[in-house]
Amino acid sequence: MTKTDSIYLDKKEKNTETKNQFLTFKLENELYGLLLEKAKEIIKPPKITNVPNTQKHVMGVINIRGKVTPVIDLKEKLGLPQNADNEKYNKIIIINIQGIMVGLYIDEVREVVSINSDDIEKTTEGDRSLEDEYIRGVFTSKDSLIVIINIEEILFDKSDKSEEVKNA
Amino acid sequence: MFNLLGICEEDLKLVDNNEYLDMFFAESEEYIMVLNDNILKLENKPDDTEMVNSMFRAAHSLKGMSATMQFDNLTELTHKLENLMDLIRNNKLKVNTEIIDLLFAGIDYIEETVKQIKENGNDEIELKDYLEKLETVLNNETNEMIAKTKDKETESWNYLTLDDEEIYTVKENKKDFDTVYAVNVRLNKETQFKQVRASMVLKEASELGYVFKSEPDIENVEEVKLQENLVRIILVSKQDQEKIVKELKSISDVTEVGIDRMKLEAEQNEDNKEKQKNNNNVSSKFEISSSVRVDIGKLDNLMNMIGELLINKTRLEALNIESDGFKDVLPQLDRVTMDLHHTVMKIRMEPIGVMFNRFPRMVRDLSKDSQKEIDFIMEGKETELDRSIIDELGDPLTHLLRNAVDHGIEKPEVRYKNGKDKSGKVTLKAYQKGSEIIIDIEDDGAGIELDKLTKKALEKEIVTQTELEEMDREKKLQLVFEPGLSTNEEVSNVSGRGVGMDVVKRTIESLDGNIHIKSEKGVGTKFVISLPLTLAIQDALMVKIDHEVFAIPLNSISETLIIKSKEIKQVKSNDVIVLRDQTIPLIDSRRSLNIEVGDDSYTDKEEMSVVIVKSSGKEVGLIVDDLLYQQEIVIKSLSEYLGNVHNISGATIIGDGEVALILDVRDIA
Repeated sequence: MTKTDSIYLDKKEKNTETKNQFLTFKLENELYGLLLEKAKEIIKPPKITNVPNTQKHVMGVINIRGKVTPVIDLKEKLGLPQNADNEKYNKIIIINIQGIMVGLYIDEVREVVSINSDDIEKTTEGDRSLEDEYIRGVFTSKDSLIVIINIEEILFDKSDKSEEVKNA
Repeated sequence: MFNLLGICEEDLKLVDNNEYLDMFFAESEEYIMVLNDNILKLENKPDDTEMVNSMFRAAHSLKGMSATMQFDNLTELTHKLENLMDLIRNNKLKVNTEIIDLLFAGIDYIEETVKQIKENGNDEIELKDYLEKLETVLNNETNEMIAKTKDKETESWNYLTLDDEEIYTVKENKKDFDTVYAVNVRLNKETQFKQVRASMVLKEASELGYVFKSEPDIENVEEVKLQENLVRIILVSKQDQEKIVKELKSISDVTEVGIDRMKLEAEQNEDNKEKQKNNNNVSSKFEISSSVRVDIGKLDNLMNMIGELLINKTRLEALNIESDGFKDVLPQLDRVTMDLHHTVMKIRMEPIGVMFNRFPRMVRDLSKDSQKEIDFIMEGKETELDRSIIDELGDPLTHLLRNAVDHGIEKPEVRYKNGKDKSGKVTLKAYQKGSEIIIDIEDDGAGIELDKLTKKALEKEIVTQTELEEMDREKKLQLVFEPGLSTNEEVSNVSGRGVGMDVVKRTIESLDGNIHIKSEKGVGTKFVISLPLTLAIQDALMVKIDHEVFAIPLNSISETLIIKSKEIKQVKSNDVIVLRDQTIPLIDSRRSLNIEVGDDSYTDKEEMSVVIVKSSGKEVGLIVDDLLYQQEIVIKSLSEYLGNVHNISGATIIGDGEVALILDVRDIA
C-alpha cells in the first residue's frame, strides 16, 4: 500500500453495525489508528512551505489541488521523540474535519482494519496525562497494539496555549 | 460518464424550494432597490410618469413572485401599492409628500416582510394599520378625482356607444361632411319638467343634425325617468362642436353639455395601429437583457480552477519538451488561459452602483429626521469592482455617510449664520486610479475640531501627552479611527456611540485597502478610501527570504533598490538609508518574520536588496535576500486552521505548484 504515491480511500465500505474502520499508521515504532472516514487521501510529502509565527507543530502549508492546506507534525503535537529517519516511507494523510483540510505528517501508512468499538480499551483512569485527551483507547490484536487517536481533539485543542511560538 | 450522471442527480435534488427562495430573495432585493430609487426620483419630478411605470412594473413583479411563493401578506401589500401606483400613473392621483411617504413606508414594509421570510420562513407581519391607511388614501383620492374629472368634462361622461352593426349603418348613411358626435346634456336636477326639457333637447338636436340614437328615446321621452338627469345622444351632423354646444345650452334648465367626436371603425383601426406602434416602441425600450444570475460561490470555484489551470500551465512550460508540436501548442494554451482568466475576472466585477443605490434613500430619511437640508451627489456609479469587495463595502460606507449627515452637516440656521449655503452638500464619488479604486466621501459641514478630538483622546488614554506632541496634524486626525472616540456631544439614534470608525477602518483594511481622512474646521471632512480592483488576483513582486519565496503586493511597493552596506546610516541606533533627502528606516525581513536569524546580520553583506514599502503614509525599507520576479498571483486564504498569522496576509501558488506566502506589509511597516 505504501508504494503508491497517492491513494484515494474508498469510503463506501462503511462500518457494519458497531464495527468501525480505522486507518493505521506508524509514528516512531508505535502503531496508531484514526477513523478512516476522516481521511480524504494519502500523499507523498511535497515541498512544505514554512509559515513563520505559527506554533511549533505546524510544519507549514502545501498545495492540495489549489487549496492551501496546513501540515501538522503529529509526532511534535503528541510530544513524541523525533528519531525515525524513514523519509522513504513518510506520508501525509489529508483529513477533512468540518470542511477544514489538514495534513498529518506521519512516518508510515500501514493498513485499514475493522475494529469493534467494544474492543477498544479505555486507557486506565489513574495515569492520565494531558496527551491522553487525544487518545480514545487502545486496541490489542494478536500481534500488535494500536493506539486509537481522537484527531478532532488533537487538532482543535484550544487548551494548549502554553505551546511556544516557533522560533520566538 | 458515471460521474456526470451522479452530478446531475445531485443537482436535481438541489432544485427544491430553497433554490426558488434564494432567487426570490435576490430578486426582491433588486425590486426594492428599483422602487426606492424611483420613488426618490419621483419626489423630485412628480410629473414623470415614466418613473411610475417602472415602479409599477417592479411592484407588479414582486406581487407575482410573492403570490407564486404563497406569501399572502406580501402579495396583498404589493397589490395595494400597485393600485396606488396605477392611480399615479393614470394621473388620477397627485403626487405629494404624503403619497411619497406612504410609498416609502410601503417599501419599508416590503423590506421588513422579506427579512421576516428570510429569518423565520413566514411573512406574518403586522400590516393592518398601514394597509388601512393605504386603503383610505386609495378611496379618498379616487373619489376626489372622479369629482374633479366631472368638472373637467372629460371622458368619464359615460357617452353612448355604438355596436358594430350600428357603426355600419351610420357609415352607410352619413354624408361626407357629416361628423358623428356623442352628446350628453345634463339638466338641472331641481327642475320639475325634466321630461319636457329632455324632449326639447332631442328636438333641438334633430334640428342640428340627425339623431341616430338617444337615451331616452325620442318616442318615449315623456314616460321614461332620466338617469342622472342626463340626455345622451348620438348625433350625426355637419355642424361643428361649438355650434352644437351653444344651441343646446340655450335651452333652459340645461346645466352642462358634453360632446365628443366619435371615431368609426376605419378611423378606429388606424388609431389602434398608431397605439400599437407606440406600444412597440415602449416594449423595445424595456427589452430584457439576456443575463444569468450566478451564485458568487460558483464563480469562486471557477476562479480557483482557473488558478489551478494557470499553475499547471506554468509547470508544463517548465518541462521544456523538445518538440515542434509542443512549442506550437504552448502559446495557444497560454492565450486561452489568460483570456479565460480575464473573462472570469470581468464576470466577478460589478458596477459599484448596485451598492450606491441604497444611499439616496438613506440620506433623504436621515436629513428629514435631523431637519437638515442636504444635496446628495453620487458620481462614478458605473465604476466596476470585484463583487466580494462591493458586498463588504456596504456597511463602512453607510457608516461614513451617516456620520457626514449626522455630525458633518450643520443645521440650516447654523449654516446660514456661518455664511454657508443653507443646504449642505454630501458627495459620494468612485473612480479608478491605476490598479486601485478610490472612493471619496466628502461633506462641506462643520469639519472635525482637532482640539476636541485630541482632548478626548487624552481623556480616554488613547494617546499620551508626549505621543501627541510628536504627532503632526495628519496623524492627529487619524485618531478618529481609534476605538472609543466620538467627538459629537449629541448622540443620535444612528451614530455617535463611538463604535464604528475603528470598525470602518478594520473592514477597509481587511479588503486590502486604505482609508484616510482630511478635515478642516468649518470647511468640511473628506474620507478617501482606496481599494484594490479585485481581491482574487494581484500583481506582486516575488522575493526570497531565507530560501522561501514570498510575494509582496505591488501596490504597496514604491520602489526596489540594491544598496551597499556603507550606505546604511544610524539614527537613534536604528539603521536607516537616505533616499532623495528622505530618511527611511530599514527592517530586516528575517527578524520581523521570526525566521531563525543566527549571527549573520545583513550588515555583514556587501550588497543587499531593499524593497521600499509604503503603508499608511509611512515608508520603510525591507531587506530581503533576493529580488526574484514580478508575477500576477492568485490570492488564496491561508488555511482557516491557522487563523490569522502575524505578518502574513495570505498565500498563493507559484509555478512549480508550491505555496508562497504573501507578506502583510501593513504589519511590518
